[in-house]
Amino acid sequence: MESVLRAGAIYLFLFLVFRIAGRRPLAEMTAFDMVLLLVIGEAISEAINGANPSFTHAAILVSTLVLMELGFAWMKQRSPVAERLVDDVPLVVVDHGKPLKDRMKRVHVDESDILEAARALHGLENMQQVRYAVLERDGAISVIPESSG
Amino acid sequence: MGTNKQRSLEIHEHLDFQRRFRVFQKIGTAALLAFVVAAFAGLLGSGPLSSTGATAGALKVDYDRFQHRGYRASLKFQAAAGPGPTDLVLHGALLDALDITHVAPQPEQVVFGDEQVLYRFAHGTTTVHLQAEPQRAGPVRGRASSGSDSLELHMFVYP
Repeated sequence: MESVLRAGAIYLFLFLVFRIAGRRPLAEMTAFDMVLLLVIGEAISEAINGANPSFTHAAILVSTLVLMELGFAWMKQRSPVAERLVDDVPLVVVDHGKPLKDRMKRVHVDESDILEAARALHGLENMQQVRYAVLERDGAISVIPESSG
Repeated sequence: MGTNKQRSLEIHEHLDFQRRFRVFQKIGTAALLAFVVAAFAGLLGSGPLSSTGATAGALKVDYDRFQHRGYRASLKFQAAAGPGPTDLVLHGALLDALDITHVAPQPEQVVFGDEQVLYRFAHGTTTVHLQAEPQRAGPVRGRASSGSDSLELHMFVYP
């Protein structure tokens, strides 16, 4: 019976916390968000499987982590500097078919990464068909084809 | 009511619901903040507001009044050094609620009695550290004694 109550309480608690947190925090799934979710999962799993049976302890850990995420989201909304510090900034790595080698070297992106994104996103065949390639804040490469616009 | 169909985009936004839900989120965020601040202050576990103690004659104990179930709790007893060995006795409810995992210094003798445990330490011992794991949630009222001095401990164990 205790296991059912424990699992039910944890389910309700997590449901409430993530509804309170809303859609944006933890929604973009950056590497950091993934690590954060793993840490939350670990804290909760200890409370569920009884290794550390304190529900209160797990609730404090999860609440603190989610609250910090909300705090950073709040700061980012109000300060462009904070947004840059927390989320980084996008970087153009191809300009009208021309790879910007210095920039690519700095961010550890090579031509094959860009061509892979160009093939996957737009079915492009070569670099000349790429108007812009941008390394986005979450690490993904977005491609704007030469023919667009 | 509150359902918007925008032009050709078939989408049910329920804007009234979204507005009400924003209020819930603000209240919830404030509650989360209060919860974490309470935890930081020690109202939900160890922390400044949790530290407490009790004194009876020469016997003194320091402990956290708020504990978590299954998490290590520390109790520090101080007693006067008498002419013989130092005895520390834990009574009834305290033993039911706490699983004593570690006693320092090592007692010379442990005597299990009816609803009590006596720890006998070497002559000259004045400070005893106990580590224990609370076994059940809820209020705990226990008693400890040394010689003729007896004091009560009050804890609350969170689930």
